[in-house]
Amino acid sequence: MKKTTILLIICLLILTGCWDQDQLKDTRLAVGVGYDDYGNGELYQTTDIRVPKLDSSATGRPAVTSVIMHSTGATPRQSRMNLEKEVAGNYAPNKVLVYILGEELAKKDIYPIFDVLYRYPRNSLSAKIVVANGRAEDLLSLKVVEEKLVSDALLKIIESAENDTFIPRVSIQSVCPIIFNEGQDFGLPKIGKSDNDALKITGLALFNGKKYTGIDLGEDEASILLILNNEESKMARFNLKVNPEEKRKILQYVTVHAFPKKHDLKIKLSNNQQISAEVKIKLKVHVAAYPKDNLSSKKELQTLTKKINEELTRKAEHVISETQRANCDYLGIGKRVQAYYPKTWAKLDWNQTYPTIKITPKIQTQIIETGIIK
Amino acid sequence: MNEKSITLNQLFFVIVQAQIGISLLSIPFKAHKYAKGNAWISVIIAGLIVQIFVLIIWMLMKRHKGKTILEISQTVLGKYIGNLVNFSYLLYGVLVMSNVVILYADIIERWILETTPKTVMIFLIIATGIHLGKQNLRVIARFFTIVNVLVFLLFVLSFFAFSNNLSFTNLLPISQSSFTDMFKGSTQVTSALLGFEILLFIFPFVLGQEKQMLKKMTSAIATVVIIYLYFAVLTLATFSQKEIAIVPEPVLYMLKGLNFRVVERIDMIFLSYWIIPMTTSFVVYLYIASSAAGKMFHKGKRKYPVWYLSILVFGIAYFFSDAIQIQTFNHYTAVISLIFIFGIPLFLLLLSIIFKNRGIRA
Repeated sequence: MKKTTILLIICLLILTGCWDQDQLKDTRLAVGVGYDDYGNGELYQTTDIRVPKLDSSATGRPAVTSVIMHSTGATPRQSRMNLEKEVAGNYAPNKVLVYILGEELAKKDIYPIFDVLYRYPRNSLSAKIVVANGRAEDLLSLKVVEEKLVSDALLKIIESAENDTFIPRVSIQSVCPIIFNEGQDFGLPKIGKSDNDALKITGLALFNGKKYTGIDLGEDEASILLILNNEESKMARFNLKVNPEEKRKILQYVTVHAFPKKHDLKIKLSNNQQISAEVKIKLKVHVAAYPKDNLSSKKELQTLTKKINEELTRKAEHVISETQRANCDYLGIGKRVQAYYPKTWAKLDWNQTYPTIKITPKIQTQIIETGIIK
Repeated sequence: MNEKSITLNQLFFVIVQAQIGISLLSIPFKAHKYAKGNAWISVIIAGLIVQIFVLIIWMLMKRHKGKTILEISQTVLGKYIGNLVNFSYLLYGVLVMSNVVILYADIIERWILETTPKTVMIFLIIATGIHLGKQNLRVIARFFTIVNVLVFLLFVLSFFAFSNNLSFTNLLPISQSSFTDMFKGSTQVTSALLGFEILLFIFPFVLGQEKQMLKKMTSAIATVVIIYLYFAVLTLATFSQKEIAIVPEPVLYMLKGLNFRVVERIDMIFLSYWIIPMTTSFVVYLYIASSAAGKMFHKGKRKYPVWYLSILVFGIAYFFSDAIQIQTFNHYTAVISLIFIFGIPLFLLLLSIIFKNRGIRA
């Protein structure tokens, strides 16, 4: 008993302090960070910092507001240190929701910007990463979008687009393995300002290695690319022009909800060392709107299915030719060649080869539902 | 005899806990250095190698029923050389303990507590270790059995990693590294499988037939190898080749990237409870070193050596601070350990066969 008491007292004496405490009241949480080129080779950092409102303590629920701050530096860490001199409190990057890269900056090697994020354990690796249409600074300077603080709004837009298969689910963490992989490239969501002074996803920025190629895919095209790469969320929506012969525009289109069923990517190596790839996709489709006709008979359904298949495949071919133009091996054909034909891979310069190989997409659909009417 | 007996199932859990610990976090990284994407094959090879070691230990222990290595060495080599061997096991125990503590403090400093002085962490680890290590074998074995729940928890956490984009093509092609490289990789994994040498010290205290014990030992090794294999494959599929080469703790890094609505930094939560399996490795070697010291200097009692050996470890651990030193220390510990898990048992076994268990003098 006496022993225990002594032990407890010792514990009390030695275990009172904590070296690593980090109290919320002392910190300034950064929630959105944008990087741009400053011109003289330095980085220009725009930071959205979340602070409690001055007069909010009386109202019970503390209100918060955004403060946009700018800083410069040769490296992200230096610009952060410059920023820390200004911020009233400890600058905390561990809750960053989104990182934005300016378009011009993204065209250079982007890994050096992220190195510090991977190295320092407190950074949030699950933060989203996007490319700005123009400068990152312009987006964050909006401060409030649709009555939401800009970084929150940005995150919401990204998340809902992810759920609709408009853009891939990318975070700082998920990009890293691909940056390091020679046999695969990636794309980042591209976000710009809309006419209503809101934010808008304008497409998918295609990267080659660590650099932005300057070539974007539109939203519809991005969805197709995601489906080709087996990356879709629960479903993807398409507006397809299946009846170009109709005069009224509204009658030309069908709107479908597509659900993934089967995905198959095969690599072939011909005798003369030519690589070709074939992507076979099977989708289940719900017809959401087909103003032209009803779909009561089997024959009509078959004709429509055929038209949808053709239209989707045509689009897929276009998307693939765009990725080849950008030299962005989004489907990771390179890493499959590396895995299955290592000898061929050793001889190849994949950057030279990818734009020249033949990739054949084949999309097959099956209409399984037409809504509550036929 | 100062130790109480343990059951066969407890033997299984003691071996599993002795092996699993801090090294689980870095398996694919170390093996990947040599074997590249074939690191998972290295894990299997290492498992087979360790199985051979265990077989040698088993044959040795079977020949000398009711004796630990400390007594066998004296029977076979005579009192003086025997004591020398026992003393070397003492030093080995201290060496590995220091290694465990150093790695442990280092990993916690880098991942969670950046500004906390290492001395404090080393102190806390050793203090906890003493608390368990001074108990008798049965208590230790019971505790190790409970701790296995945590391994199960790790599995549950790892399921979330399947929400990442896994690309299993990273594991191919098989020809990406030569067999020599795979073997080199497996020597790295072998050091992660260390801990089974506790068999040399607890074998006589297990209740059961020798054959049953061999079965339990084999299944323990197999369990650990399967767990390692699972994590090697999972992390290799998560990270690409060049990335894994710069991530020393791939399992932690993988967990860090996961994100849930309520919880972030799963790696911290994980590391906080993984401290327990890491401490069990410390306790295993504390047991080894203190048994050796007890046998030689204290008539078989481990009470005193537990304390002064721990203080010695504290002193050693105190001097290692920078990353390169730690790496070198870790490397040499792994090399030296081969003598103790393989060299000495084999040597003793051969001598016992030649001299029909009676020893050199007889």
